[in-house]
Amino acid sequence: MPKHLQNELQQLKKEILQIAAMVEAATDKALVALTDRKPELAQEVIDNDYLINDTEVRIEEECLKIMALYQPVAADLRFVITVLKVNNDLERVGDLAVNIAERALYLGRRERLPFAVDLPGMITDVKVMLAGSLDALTNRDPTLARRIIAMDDLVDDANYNLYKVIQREMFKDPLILKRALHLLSSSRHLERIADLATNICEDVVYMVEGEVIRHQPEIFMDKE
Amino acid sequence: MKLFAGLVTDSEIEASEIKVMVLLRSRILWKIYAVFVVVIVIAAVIVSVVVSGVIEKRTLGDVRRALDVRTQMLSRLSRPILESGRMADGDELVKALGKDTRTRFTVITVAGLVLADSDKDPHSMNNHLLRPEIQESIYHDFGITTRYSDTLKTRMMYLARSVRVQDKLLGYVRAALPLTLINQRISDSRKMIIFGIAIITLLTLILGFFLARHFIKPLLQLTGMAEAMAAGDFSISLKSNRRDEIGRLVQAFNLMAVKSRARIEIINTDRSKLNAILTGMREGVIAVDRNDLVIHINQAAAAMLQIDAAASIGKRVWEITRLRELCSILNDASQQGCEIKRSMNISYGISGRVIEMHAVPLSSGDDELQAGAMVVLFDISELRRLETVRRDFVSNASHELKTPITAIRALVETMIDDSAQMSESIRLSFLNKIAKQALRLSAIVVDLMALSRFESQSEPLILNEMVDLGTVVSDSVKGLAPLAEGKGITLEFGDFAAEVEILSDAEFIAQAITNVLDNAVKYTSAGGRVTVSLRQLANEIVIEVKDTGIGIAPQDRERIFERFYRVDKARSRELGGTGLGLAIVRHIVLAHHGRIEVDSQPGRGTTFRIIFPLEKQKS
Repeated sequence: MPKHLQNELQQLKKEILQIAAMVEAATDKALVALTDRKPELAQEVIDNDYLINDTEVRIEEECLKIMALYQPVAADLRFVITVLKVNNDLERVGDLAVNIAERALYLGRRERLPFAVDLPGMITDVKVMLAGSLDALTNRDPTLARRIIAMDDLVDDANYNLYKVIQREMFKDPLILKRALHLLSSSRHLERIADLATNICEDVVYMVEGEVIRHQPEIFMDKE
Repeated sequence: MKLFAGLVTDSEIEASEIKVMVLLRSRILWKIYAVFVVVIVIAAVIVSVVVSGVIEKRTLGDVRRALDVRTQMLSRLSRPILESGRMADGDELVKALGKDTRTRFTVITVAGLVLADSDKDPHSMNNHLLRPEIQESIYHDFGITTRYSDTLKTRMMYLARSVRVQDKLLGYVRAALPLTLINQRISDSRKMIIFGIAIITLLTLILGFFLARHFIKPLLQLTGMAEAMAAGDFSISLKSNRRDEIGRLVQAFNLMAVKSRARIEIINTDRSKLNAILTGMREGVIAVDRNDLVIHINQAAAAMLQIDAAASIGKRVWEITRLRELCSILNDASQQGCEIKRSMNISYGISGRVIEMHAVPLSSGDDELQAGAMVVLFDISELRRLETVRRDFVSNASHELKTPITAIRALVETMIDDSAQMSESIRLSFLNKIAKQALRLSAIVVDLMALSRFESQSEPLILNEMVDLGTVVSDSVKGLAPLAEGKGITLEFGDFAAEVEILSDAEFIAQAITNVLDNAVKYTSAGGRVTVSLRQLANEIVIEVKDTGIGIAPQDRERIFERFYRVDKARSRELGGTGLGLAIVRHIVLAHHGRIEVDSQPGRGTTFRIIFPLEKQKS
């Protein structure tokens, strides 16, 4: 019986890492499509999103099956619960990637905006956060998870700066309004991805240490 | 114990002195002892039973013979007593005889009346006719019984004999001897047997000790050797000149150790060879077993995937990397059992890499099940990049050359067609345009020629004059001042070190600096600022050109030094560039063993730094 449970958990781990890989790849593609103006890549992300959604449903069913059949306890239970939550977050990241891809599709087919923004810097940070959160999940590494959580402020600031720049440019030239709004929402989506990466990291800390570190940023900072 | 230890003279096994205590704890020793004890006890019981049987039989025979002789003699002596029939007559004689021979004698009449007895007063004795030995002697001339004597309170053997004179029965004589002698003899012989057994037991125990030692010592040494071999030490060799089975076992062990060591050495050499080959490979190699566990991953593969090679072994492949293409190609290769070739894009950070993967299934010989799969990773990003550069160059060069040619052709054709009614002023403006395009064409060709000269190894740059960089830089700035002024850009000096000289070629270095400055002015819009600095550091000379222009996106930074590469093609051509400027700069700087650094923030501006090392210059 415990042997069966271990096999199931192993399989579950494989599947959660699989969806993680899919989501990460989709995000990367969407961001490349956005920065390099490649609408065909964006279309690919939109077309393949159903794969992520299907996997999410399968993983959720798997989790429920494990809980109903084996009634796991302690670390095993925390693992299943974490997978259930991370699964949800990852699917959301996948959706955000689709949203970004849609913006890329719009922006890539129109003229370049006349001003430059530091989107690549923000993209790098978000990619590092997403990859880091998934690494923390794979290696059960709460230290890495905590470091990633601390990075969230960076992305928030970048988002705010971008917002200000775009606002300023929109005042200057109302003709760019539509494109600028699309760029702005891309930045919002990126910021959301960073938030979800933070959530994943919090779940990883919970899984490994059994401690809920959500909603208590001060305590967390002290620990650092 | 010391005594035994001292007795050990077995010289054939000297390797390790075996303690007596170890031997005493040995199970073999106690098994040998147990067998010995059982054998000895059974032997002792059998011997004692047989011996006491024989002794009893012999002693009884001896007593009977003695009694027989005594009764025959007494029957002669007792004839007068019996004939007289009076008690007093013979009693004294019988008593004297009994005392001398330590035998009990009794003379009895036909009627059973005791006439004389050696041990008791005959008067007090009752009728003896019904005694079994007497009854027997009536018919058989003599009778024997062994029974307990109430009179003497001991077990006795009685022999009665009838006394006859010419077939006339006169009476009986009886002699009796106590049987205590028998018991004594048996107990004597038992003492002898027990004493013998004790000596034999002692001898066998000592013998058993040496026997056990003889077998246990090599066994313990073999055990130690086997344990050492299990722990990986194959250097032990046991000495033995025994010719028995143990000797052969020791020889077999020695042979096994030697062969194992040789085989392990072969395996180790093979493995280190294989490791050296795999580590030395520039291609990444990853092997997994059928459960997706990583069996091998070399340094190149770890570097490509940006993971730790040592920590990855033994983990599942989908745990060490999230590259789905990699996991799925391994899976497919082992499932389908055939070679698969695919390529994947990795986007780490900003620069994407293209990896070509070649996966093959691993099979473990006779096993039907696939033993996993192996993938070889080729990083073909550089190849792809060079391919792109070459393709871009050909298409760019032809395009760049074609544009002015097309313009000239169109202008000339118009002039030919409309030569009749074309006014002089239009003709002049056409000719001016043609001249401008021709100049452009020649500028491109000159730049291309310069580039190809730099690139051809046969004619390297000759740096043979000391050039004052300050003069060169100020000349370049002066040359570009009208253009900057026209665009409304401030062109100014920052830090400016005087008298900086390097070994160079005045023409080339001026061209490089002008090209960089020209770019800065071109890509800065009105109201901007271009700052030129010249610094001499401890071992470097730095020429810095900083502008507040449009900047260069990170992904373009590497490629701006390629020939004809333009971040924004339309704008560049509009500004009159050939697309070769920075490529030429790069070549000139490399010829000076220098380097170029580019810092840029899109929208904020760009800083170009040309850095010349001083050491190379001096030597």
